[in-house]
Amino acid sequence: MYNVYSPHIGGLADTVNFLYAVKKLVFDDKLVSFIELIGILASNWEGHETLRVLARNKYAYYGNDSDEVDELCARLLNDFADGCDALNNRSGYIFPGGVSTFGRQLQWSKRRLACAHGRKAGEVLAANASPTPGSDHIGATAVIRSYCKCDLKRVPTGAALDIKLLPSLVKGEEGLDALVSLMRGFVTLGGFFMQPDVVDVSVLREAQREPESHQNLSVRVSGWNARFVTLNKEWQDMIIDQNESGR
Amino acid sequence: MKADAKAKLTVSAIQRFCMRDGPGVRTTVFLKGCPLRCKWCHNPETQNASPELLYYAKKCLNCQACLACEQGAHSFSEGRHHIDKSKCVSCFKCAGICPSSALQISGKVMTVEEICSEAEKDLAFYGESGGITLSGGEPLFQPAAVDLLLRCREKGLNTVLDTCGYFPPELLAPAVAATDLFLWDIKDTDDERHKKFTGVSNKTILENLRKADELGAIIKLRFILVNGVNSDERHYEKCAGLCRSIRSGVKPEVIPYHAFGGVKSEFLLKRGGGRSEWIPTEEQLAQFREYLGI
Repeated sequence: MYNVYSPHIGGLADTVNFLYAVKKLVFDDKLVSFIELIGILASNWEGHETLRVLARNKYAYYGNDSDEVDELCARLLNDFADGCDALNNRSGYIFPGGVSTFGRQLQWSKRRLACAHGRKAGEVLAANASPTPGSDHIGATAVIRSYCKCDLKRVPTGAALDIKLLPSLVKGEEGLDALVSLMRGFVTLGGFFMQPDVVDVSVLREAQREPESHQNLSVRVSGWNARFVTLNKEWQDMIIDQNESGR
Repeated sequence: MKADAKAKLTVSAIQRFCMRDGPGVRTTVFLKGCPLRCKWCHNPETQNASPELLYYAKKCLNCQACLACEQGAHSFSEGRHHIDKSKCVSCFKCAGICPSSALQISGKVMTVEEICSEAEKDLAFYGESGGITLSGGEPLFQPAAVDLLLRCREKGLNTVLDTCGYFPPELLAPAVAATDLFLWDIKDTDDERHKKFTGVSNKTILENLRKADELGAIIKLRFILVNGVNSDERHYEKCAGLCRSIRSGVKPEVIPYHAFGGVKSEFLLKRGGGRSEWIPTEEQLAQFREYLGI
């Protein structure tokens, strides 16, 4: 008999992107000193809107298939797994790690502070092992490639990747081909936990306005399905936001 | 013929995970330069062969960082950003400085090998049918596009060429030899209208099409339908005839005009060319498709 205790981390993409933004802003591009940057973040970017927009826009963050930042992610995940391994066999427990937020990114956002990758205090963190909302600009294959650069065998209790797809993309026979190609590529590259989500944001908004006529609209929240109309306004807004920033 | 992997091409954009530019998952490379000036062009940023500045007004923060321009092309008055394109010398320093990416460049010079590597990133997703699509602009406006097709072939990538059909005839044979599928866009079968709306005669296009077919090219014809311009039955009939004349027999496609090119014209600081009256009706589309038997 053995006992399992599985530590999970959340905010993976945000941590990686934060570190990467510090590297770019302070060390590579020398736009600001480290001390100044910390001060700016402490004041929630107040009076530094131009720098904030630059930090948010100019760099390719996790999810854009850019090795420079994806390597940081792979390294961080490995370090976390090393930490988990070091705990193994304590009091007869094993500690296989994982990555998940399962919706808690919403609770956490209230205590979340400003981040170097151009995020303000209170913004919702990345879901599960997905990119920071609105930071992936190249499309689903690039997101999958970024994710699969991590050694996912080291997080055996799961590191879900949420992929938002436009309904037009998965329409008809061609659309089915697209989905099959995405999944086949995902598995080929070593992925094992992907949640494709196909939602038309306008339908979600409609459901928010007229819940009575959308009783059976089901959305993938994160690891589980929920009927959209049963979620509270905050949750609904978060799902709408995530789908708007997705591709 | 062997590809010159170091040959250079000016690229407007590379889009990954495209599902409408040929079979399967594709990486589409939009090359700069086009011999046509279609009034309904949906990629006006690819018409000029040289790199140019794009401006996205909605992203502009009014931070005035671009005043660093040594030519004085940027100015601000009453909180509005003005750009004098006649002063622009295409150094693109402003695009590098702009924090919000309101200023961007359409046109990056890349080698054939670099473009190929970009396309190879999605190898895991291509499966048996996917690969690379060259589009634009007119890809063959830059003859090195043939090297790109050849290099992709050497690497085992499926190749699609999206062409307007207007290119020097000497490029035809090498292009056919390196292309798995042609997406051949036909604007108009009436030559006078063709001249009026695209700036050139359709003779070269139809001649190249005939020769490509003779050389054994696999061709999918794509007919652009513009309401009030080429939405007449005489044109539909001639298009049906063209389809019958092509030996490879790939199912043709009708592409309805859309007004998106007009939106893009704004980014180029040109007058918007989007014309909603050009959007064809469902009935027109259905009638055209009936003529084509699709």
